[in-house]
Amino acid sequence: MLGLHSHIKREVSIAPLATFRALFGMIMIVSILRFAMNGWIEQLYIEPQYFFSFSAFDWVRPFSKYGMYALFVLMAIGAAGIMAGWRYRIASPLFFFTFTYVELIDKTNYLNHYYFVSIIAFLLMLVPANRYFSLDVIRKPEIELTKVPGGMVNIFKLQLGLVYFFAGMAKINPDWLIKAMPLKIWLAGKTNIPLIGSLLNYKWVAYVFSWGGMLYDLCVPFLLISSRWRKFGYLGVLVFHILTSLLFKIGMFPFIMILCTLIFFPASFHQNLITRFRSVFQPVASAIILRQQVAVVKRSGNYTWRIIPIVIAIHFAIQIVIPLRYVIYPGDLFWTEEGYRFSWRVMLMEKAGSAQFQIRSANGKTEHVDNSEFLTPYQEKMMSTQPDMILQFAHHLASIYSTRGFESPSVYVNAQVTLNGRRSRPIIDNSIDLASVRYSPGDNYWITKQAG
Amino acid sequence: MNGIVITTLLSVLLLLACGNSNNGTYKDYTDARLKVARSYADYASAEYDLLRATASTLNTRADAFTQEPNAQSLADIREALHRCRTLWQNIAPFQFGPAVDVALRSALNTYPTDIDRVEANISSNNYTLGSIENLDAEGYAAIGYLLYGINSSEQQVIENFSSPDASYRINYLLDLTERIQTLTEQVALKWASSSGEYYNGFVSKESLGTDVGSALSLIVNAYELYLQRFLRDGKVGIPAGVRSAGVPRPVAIESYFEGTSVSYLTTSMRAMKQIYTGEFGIDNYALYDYIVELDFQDLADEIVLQWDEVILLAEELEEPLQDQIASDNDAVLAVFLELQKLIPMVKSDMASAMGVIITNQDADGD
Repeated sequence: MLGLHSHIKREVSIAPLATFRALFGMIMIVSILRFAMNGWIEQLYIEPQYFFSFSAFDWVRPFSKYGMYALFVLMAIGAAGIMAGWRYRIASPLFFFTFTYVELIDKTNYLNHYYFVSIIAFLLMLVPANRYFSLDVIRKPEIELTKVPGGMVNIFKLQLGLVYFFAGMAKINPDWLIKAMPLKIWLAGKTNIPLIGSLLNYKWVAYVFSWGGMLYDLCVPFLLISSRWRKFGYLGVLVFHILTSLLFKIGMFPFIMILCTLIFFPASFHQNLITRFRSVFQPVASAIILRQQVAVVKRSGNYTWRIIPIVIAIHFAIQIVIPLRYVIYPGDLFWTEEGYRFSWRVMLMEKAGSAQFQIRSANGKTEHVDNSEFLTPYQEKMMSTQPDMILQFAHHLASIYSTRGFESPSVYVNAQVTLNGRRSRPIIDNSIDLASVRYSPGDNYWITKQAG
Repeated sequence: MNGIVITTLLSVLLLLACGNSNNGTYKDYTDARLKVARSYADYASAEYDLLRATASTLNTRADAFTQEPNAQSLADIREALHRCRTLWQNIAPFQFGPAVDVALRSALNTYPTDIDRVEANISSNNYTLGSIENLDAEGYAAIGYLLYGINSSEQQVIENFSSPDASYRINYLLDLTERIQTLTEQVALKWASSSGEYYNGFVSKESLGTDVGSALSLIVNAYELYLQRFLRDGKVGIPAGVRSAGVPRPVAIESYFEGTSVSYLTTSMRAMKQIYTGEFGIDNYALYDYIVELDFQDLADEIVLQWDEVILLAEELEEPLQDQIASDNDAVLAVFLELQKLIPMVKSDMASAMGVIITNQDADGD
């Protein structure tokens, strides 16, 4: 316990926190610009006519076209504020809330790495990462700190460690380790890429990647905290994430992780980065130099650190429980996806489906639904493999068809899903009227239990 | 320590993998996809060229018919229209790239035709073909209406084009056939194997992965979209009433005026099967072969069998389709349901086995 206490209370340099903040803010600006330039604000939040809301957050709705763009502008301002440490106590919540709001609009767009960004933004909101190497310090020199309680830096290491560890645990399953699925399918599709492409024609490579990925995820947090193995661990971070970014369409995530894991390096490394940054920008930002020259060791005593530890303790308790919640649900997790999200299960499944809905009215009318009338192709694809989204859509259809002259419509679906190369089979019991079913985790009798 | 563990485990694994399986451990997937891309590029190239030639014949015969409307010239242009529409079935599942750039499908084969719109365009003699409001007043179906009318006799059609005030109607027919010829030529040119810019990009190395935009992804997505939306829904389901609360819509069939919808339906199904199996030339390496190469022999065969089922059932339908719908719509619905069984096979199993994503929307995953 004494050890834990020292990890939380012992004062450490604020430098790692300051560079972490700046780098995270920077990569977020890049991410937001990329998102906007790919036309995704339009495609994902303006074009769809229906959105798959999260159950407790069904009040989160998209705004009008200009409202959505304004929301992203605010998000970018928040990210810029985090990067520069400018009006940080406004900027960090601004980024956290705008980003999280957008992520909550539609389940279709759920990605573990968006969830990760939300969590990091949340934690950043709770720490005084702006009180060194920031515009806030230039504005108000008296707020500068050079030391903070170790806990403020270590929470980010713990969070990253949990992400990797749970991602590694999730890879310990027969499909991944014994069948090298889904990598066998995915790598076979990448044999035309330069350099390593031709290697992917060998079957054993999929096994090496599967086992290597599992071991990497499980080991890398421990390598990164050990001063002896850190460099080796970070080399692993670089190789692993660059490789995954070459092989898979996972966007900014590899680069976010490559930057975030720098926090494991000692304070001297970060101080060095800051010093170099300052010397490069010397001519333009003399004010910053001024601060550097008056660098005095200031204690962290003037920063209040009271309820925040409780919030953080609750946060990490949740972070450990949520990925494990699946054990209380029956059925195959990869199939039913009850307890699948928010658990760092990344790149584990090649899942594809086709869902064909049929509406029947009380007076005997039937109609086959054309999904594309209500959903974008991307929404349809994501809905077709995820039972909770199939049910949400069924309810949406019931309410639409009741306005189209279908008296108390019942909704049936033929949803055929394939998981990791197995032959497809129904994921929903097609004899059950989905209009009369409620989603209740642990008791979703309308979902078939096995991938076959 | 950890590093040593990793290295040891990896090398043990490597040795195991290399040691115990000499057969089937190496497959040249890029080469397999190159063969797929080439087969289909050659197919598209040849079929578009045929369609181009026939569109040109249609246009010439429209000239001949309008200059001298008689039984022979009418029979000639009708025959050319029928050949165009039959050939179209072979290439309709290949709507991507240059065809999408000129919106070929909606220009050539939007149905049902809006008769009122066609007549309004003719009487005003003022219209822009290719505009959204005129999509259902142009293409094969609109020509079908002009050349057959609603239960009109040949004599009536000939009179329509030879009466003193027929000049606007003549203009309209000529504009329709000319537009078909122009668009078809544009697309055929881009696919031409020797000089076609699209052909070359299609079989280039960058195009031989499975991502959005790769040759395989384009083929599979277009095939699946055609199967679902244009074959199952357009040719069968919608006329049979599956989207209209079970009330049949016989006017929504492909060739209402000529009465050849069943023929186009079965031609289309046979083309879809051939495209899948590769029986469209010598030594074609098709989707079937690629699925087998990926070790999904059962799936590959099952799709062929299901096509056979579908074709067998559709061949029992009676021409014209509107009469079949009126007399026994259940037979049409049975074809719809049999086609529906193909969709999970193609959209879920086949696409997933290949690692191809069904949606042309580009997005991040994790």
